[in-house]
Amino acid sequence: MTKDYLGEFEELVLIMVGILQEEAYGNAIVQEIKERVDRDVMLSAVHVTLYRLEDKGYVKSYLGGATQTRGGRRKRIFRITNSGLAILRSIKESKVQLWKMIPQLNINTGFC
Amino acid sequence: MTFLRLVLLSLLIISSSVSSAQTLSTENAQLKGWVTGVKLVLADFRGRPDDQFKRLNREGGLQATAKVAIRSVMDVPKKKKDRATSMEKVYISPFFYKLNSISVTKDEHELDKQRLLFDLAEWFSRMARQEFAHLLDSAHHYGVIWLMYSRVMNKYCIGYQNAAEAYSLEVVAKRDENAFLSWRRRVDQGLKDTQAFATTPEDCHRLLTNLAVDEAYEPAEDIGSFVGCN
Repeated sequence: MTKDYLGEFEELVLIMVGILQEEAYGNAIVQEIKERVDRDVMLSAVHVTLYRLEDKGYVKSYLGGATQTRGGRRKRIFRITNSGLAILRSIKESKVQLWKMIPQLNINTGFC
Repeated sequence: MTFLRLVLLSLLIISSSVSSAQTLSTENAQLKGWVTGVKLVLADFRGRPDDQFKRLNREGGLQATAKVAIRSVMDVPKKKKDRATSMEKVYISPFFYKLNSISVTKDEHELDKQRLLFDLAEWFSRMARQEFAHLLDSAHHYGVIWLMYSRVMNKYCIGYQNAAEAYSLEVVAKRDENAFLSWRRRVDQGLKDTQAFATTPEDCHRLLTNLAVDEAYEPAEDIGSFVGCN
C-alpha cells in the first residue's frame, strides 16, 4: 500500500475541519485559520481543498439546515472521517519521530 | 475674438467637468469600488500566486480567485441641533481587493466567474440600502438609522458571505457550469430589481478616502455590534 501524502495546506484545512466539528464550512475554516495561525487564506482555495480531501475520503460533506440569511440555501458542512483522523495521527507520529532526532528539540517537554 | 472666447469657454467647461469627476475617486492601488458600468480586468488581479495557489491550480483546477467585501460607514450631523432636521447618512459599497485577488489565466470566462462575486456584493449592498430607505419611509426621525445600522449591515454582510460561500463551492470548486449560469441569471435579476439603490461614486469615494462627503457631517461613533464585512 502506498502511503498517502497530504500537502501542508490540505493538512491545515483537515485539522480545522476536525476542530470545528459541526461548524466546519468554508467561511468558518477561513476565520479559524486566521484566528489560530494568523494566516489569510482564500475561500475558494479552502473549497477546492475540501473537495480534494473529500475525493481522498478524509472528509465527508452533508447539507446543514437552511437559514434566513442564506436566502433559504442550506450550508454544506464538512466532517472528518476515520481515514482523515488516521492520516492526521500518522503525520503527527512521523513528525514527532523526526523532531526527536533534533537534539535541541529533544528535551522531554512532555510534547509526546 | 468670439471664436477664441468659445474655445476658452469650452476648455473651462471640459476642465471643470474633468476635475469634478476626479474629485470622486472610486478606486486606488489596492481597492476598486463598484459603480455602474465597472468591469474587473485581468490587471486588477494583482495578487501573486503562492506555492499553495500553484498547487491548487495544477491539481484542483483553481485558476482565479477574487476577494470582494462590502464596506459601509454611517455619518451623522456634527451639530446636535441639526439632528432634529437632518438624517444620518449611510454609505455602502462593495470593494474588490486587488492585492488579495489572483488570476493565472487570461480566460474571460474564468474571470467572469470572479466578476460575478463583485455583482453579488453589489446586490446585497443595494438590498441593505433599500432596507434603510424603507426604515426612513416608515419612521422619518433621526436615530432610526442609527439604531438599526448594525442590525441591517450585519444581516446583509452575513447574507453576502453565505451566498458567496455557496457560489464558490458550486462554481469555483465543483466547476459546475450550469450553476454559474443559474447564479448569473439570479444576480442579474436581483440587480435589475434594485436598480434604484445602486452604489454611487459618492459611496465609493466616502469609503475610500475615509472623509465625510458633507462637511456638516462626521462619522458616527459607538454604532454597536457591527463588526464589518471582511
